[in-house]
Amino acid sequence: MAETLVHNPYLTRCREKGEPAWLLERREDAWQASQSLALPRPEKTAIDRWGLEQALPGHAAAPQTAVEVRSDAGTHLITWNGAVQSAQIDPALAELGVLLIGIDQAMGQHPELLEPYLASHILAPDHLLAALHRTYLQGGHLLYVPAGVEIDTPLEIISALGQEDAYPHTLVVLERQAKVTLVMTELSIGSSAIRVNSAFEAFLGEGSFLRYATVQKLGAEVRAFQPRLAHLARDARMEWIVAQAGGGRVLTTNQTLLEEEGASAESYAVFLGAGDQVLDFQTKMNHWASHTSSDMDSKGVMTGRAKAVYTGFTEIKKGAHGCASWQKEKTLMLSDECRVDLIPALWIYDDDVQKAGHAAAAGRVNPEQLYYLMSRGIREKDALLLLVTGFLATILDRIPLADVRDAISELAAETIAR
Amino acid sequence: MRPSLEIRDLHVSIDEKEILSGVDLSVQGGEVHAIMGPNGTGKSTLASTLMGHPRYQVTQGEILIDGVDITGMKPDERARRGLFLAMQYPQELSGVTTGNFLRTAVNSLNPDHPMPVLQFHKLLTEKMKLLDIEPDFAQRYLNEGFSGGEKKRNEILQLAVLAPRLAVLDEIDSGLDIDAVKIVAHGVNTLLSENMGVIIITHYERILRYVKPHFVHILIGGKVAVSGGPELADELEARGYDWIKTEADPALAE
Repeated sequence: MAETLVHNPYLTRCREKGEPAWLLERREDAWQASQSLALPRPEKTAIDRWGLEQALPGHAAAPQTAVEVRSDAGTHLITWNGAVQSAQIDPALAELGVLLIGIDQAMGQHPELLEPYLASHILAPDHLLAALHRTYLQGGHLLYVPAGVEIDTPLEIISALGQEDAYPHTLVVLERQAKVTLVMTELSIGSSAIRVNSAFEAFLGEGSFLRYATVQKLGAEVRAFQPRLAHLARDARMEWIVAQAGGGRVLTTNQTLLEEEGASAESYAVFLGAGDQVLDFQTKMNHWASHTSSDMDSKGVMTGRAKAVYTGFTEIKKGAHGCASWQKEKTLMLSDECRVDLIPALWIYDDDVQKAGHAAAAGRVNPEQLYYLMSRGIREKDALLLLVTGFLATILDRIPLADVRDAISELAAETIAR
Repeated sequence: MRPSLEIRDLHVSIDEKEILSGVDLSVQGGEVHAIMGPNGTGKSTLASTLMGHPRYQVTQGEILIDGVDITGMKPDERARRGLFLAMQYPQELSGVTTGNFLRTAVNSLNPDHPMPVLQFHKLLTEKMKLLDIEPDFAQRYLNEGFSGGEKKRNEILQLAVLAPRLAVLDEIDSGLDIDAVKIVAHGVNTLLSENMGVIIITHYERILRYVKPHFVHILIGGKVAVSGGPELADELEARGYDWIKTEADPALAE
């Protein structure tokens, strides 16, 4: 901790709002820690000019234009820069104790639910952007599913961001044997020349299941740091569906900590880049306990002068026996100027491994296939879209949510058209 | 207007090497032209050049459809002018169903009048029946895992659904057993009318027993060495290609 305390006016605001003492203390600790922490250093992406460390949370004032975002989901939560715009819950779920509410509401009504989880987790190694998120986190979403509650229909969060920098936080807590699907969309409203430091953190209790689909389609000027982290207890299972399409400069980590025996995770990710987009996309599976398993399948489509670095990490700790892990990453490059680096990384420290491996491939459009499609009258852009659809099919086929599949197809079409 | 294709003094190179050295050909709607010749004589080069494959460089001459010069057009533009090529080696495309692909193609050919899904489905079903194709075909990924015969049948299915003005069939009979040749030929004969001209490119005269050509052209050394009526195909069957080299163009016989 720093010798001299540096005053932060935002923390005074939080104190005046009457935030609980434990949270103020965590914010203060994170702020003091941030004084001596450096930016994260992704291997192949220079983020020091993105200005993310200068982002200050705004006042979450009402948007200048009305948030015209609707959800068809019976249970949904729509926020603007982390502040709740609209919320609805199926009464039957409310009866069972399910909560889908804003972080601010949760702080007033259920602080005891937040205290064990909110801003408590420190990733090793800690870095400046993570510490700033803990300092400034403002608004966001809480999904709480009590023990044994199984929800069949997907719940939805729409997080609209714009006009000012934002630090929204999404917290998901599943008690033991809870099962739920959550679809979250992040989009821009108004000016997108903002900096976003948003975090997602999920805690999966014993035997619980979370399918988390996240569609990021922020505006092209957004600069963002977007860590997503899940902690899995014994026999818990997590299915990630990540569509990373928006933002001009984005660093995102999608990390699963398989903390207890029998936990398993799958990750299906699609990343898209066009124009001058720069994306550093990391997926991490940390096998910290025996008999845990993970499967990552990621596909990227790049065009224009876009740049992407995709890193797939698999870690199997010493003492974590009988783990199984597989990762696959593949990209399709549509232009000569786009660039993709695929970095598979396997850190295996235990000798008793059931399965571990990776496959990575970066390819270009097959001109013979393009010719074949065009020879039937299909215009080049439409032919490319068919090729991209075909390329993404192995991932799309594994997504059991039609809306999310359609959203990804639509984003792919927009990417090609740009 | 009856469709017309004019090929005038067509010279084509691949990687600077000349393959076609002045081909002339004229095809009208309702006509079936067979282009025959030994291997390596430029038959498939002609087919690919007509469709606009980017690898083939036209160095001289021109190709006209309905009087419009298409020599510089991209394949999709040619297709929208009514040209169709049933390919010798159709591409496989994983993740895209045959039905989805064909519907995209149909709507690309008529962008102003997109075909309603049900109408398209009806059209597809009707044409699949014509070609004795299993109904699940449309749900399978385009040519992926198809046998050689299935791929060729899929080419003719596309021909039937897209209803072009000028169809070029490149070695459509190669790799097919006799029953499949009959089915493919039946499909072509059913589709043939004043509104479609056909070029059948083939190494063997077998398919010509089932689809009767009005004209037969023998391509040798990148040129049409001799043209004639259907009797020319019979003569080839009896005598092979060597006599043409000596009789038709002594220069070619060295």
